[in-house]
Amino acid sequence: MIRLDQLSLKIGSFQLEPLDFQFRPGEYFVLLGPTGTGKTSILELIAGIKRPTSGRIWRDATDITDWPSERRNIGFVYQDYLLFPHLTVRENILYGMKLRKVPEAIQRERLQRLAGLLRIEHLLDGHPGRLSGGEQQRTALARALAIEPEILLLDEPLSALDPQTKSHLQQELRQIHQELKTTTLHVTHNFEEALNLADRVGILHHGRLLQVGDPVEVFQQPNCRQVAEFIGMENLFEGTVTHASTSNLEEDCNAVFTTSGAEFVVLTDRHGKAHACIRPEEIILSTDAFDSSAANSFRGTIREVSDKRIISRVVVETPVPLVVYVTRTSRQRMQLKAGQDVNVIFKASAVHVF
Amino acid sequence: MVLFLLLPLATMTLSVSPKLLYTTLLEEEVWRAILLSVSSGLWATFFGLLFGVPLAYVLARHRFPGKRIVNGLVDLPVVIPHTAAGIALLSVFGRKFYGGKLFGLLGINFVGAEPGIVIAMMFGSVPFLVNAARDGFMAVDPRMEQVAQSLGASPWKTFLTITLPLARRNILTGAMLMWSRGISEFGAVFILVYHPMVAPVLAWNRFETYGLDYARPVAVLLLIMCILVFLTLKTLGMGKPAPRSRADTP
Repeated sequence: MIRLDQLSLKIGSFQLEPLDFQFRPGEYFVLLGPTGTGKTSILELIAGIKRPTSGRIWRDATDITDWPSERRNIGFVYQDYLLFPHLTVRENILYGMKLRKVPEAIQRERLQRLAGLLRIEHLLDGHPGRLSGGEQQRTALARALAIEPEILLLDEPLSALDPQTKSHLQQELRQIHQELKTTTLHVTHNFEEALNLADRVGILHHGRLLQVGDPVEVFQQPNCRQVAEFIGMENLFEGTVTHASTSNLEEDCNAVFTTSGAEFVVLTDRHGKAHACIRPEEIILSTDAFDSSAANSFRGTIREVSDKRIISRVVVETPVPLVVYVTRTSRQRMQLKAGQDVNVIFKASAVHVF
Repeated sequence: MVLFLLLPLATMTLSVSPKLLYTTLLEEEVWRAILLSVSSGLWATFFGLLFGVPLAYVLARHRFPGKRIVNGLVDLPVVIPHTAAGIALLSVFGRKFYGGKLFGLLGINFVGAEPGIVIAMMFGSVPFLVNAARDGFMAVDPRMEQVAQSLGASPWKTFLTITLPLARRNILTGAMLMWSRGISEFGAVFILVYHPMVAPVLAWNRFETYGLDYARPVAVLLLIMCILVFLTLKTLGMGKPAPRSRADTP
């Protein structure tokens, strides 16, 4: 398995701090960080496109730091696909296997399997220029997977796609990973991809790997201010979405999100396992119960109140802890303090399900 | 302006009867000259491809001190007078000079011989090939080469299977340009090699010795030859563009 040993890189003013990291066999690792923070550089170091300033890269007990890219057997998929435009889709996928002189029977078998998995069988004889973005990215994935890489590197693989294709391909990435179990390093700045795909997630900021762990854990318990500020995700829950069995069109999107201890009314067309997030500024606090149009209403006890410049952060212990932002003026007027009983109210549309 | 371009060519062509054109073409001196022009042009282009394309790749992909100077140097032959180019070549490749002596050891003589025609054509026309090839290489995303290498291709294999095929159209167009420009070279060839005569030198020779009427048929033949090359070039250039990935225009 690939291990990074005190790996560092300095190019101009950019600096990647010495990085120690070990991949777990077969894991899907998502490296999350803002743009320009060195994510792509890490991929390029592993792929052998860039040379580290110091440190080593190991594959099991072999030092591969000085190996050229073509010896490393690492799959690389870019955001903008970079298919070979003069070759057909089939030739693109076969490219790596032919160079490796993989026996033809195996070439055919792998091509069929990957084309089936990625649903591009009908495109094999065409040229990449005529494909949609999603189809091109599927082809790029098949091309990289065809060499059965030690590790698959994905550089913002979904960022250039439209929202619908993106969500389809995201699910397919998960299925493909479950099927092939290829160790994968996926870099992105998108939290949703991290939560939906990652076995483990790492947060990279200004060239430093700040936190590594289970995705929900990292999102719920950032270990430092920078991680908290970057991901800043309060009120994040894991659970399942169920739809009422009405065939009424208007209620089609009306669903219930169940997490341990609580149920929220939500608007979504998703089914099954999902994440829900409620923005703290979209929750209303009131001291008296009142009737409203909002679908979600809970009663709970304030656990803590803290001031952040002009807003106050209030944690309310309902069946699940909910973080609510109110202005400091409101907090003073309502005299909010720990131990007080309050109502929390939010609309179904305030719950973001993904 | 259009008339200015068209009238002289049309008048010259129309003043020569097809019959005269035909008999002129049958003259041994004439067809030999045309053949020599075409073949020397091809040789010049061949050496241009051999040495110019690698240079174009280096200019497209690498940064090195003095790159701007090299880039400028490549364009220089286009702006200097062709007779000056011929004299410059003569002062290196003439029999008494170091280039001439060096190649003389290999039995290659430039002055008054075909190799001289080839280098005279090459000097003025190779910029067209190098520039076209460089543009072609620059249009190939270097990351596409990196993908090929991650899939197991050595840098050389990557060049042969990815970069070269993608830049092929540019290189081909550049080669055609170089060839046609080489064929029309007069000044430099004239200084280095008067005999054997290439077509433009022959046209001049007829004009000097016999006057306009005798020079015209040769000039028309030369013109027809150039138009044929030009048309081939156009059809090549207007052919179906190579399928490009949409990634080129995100």
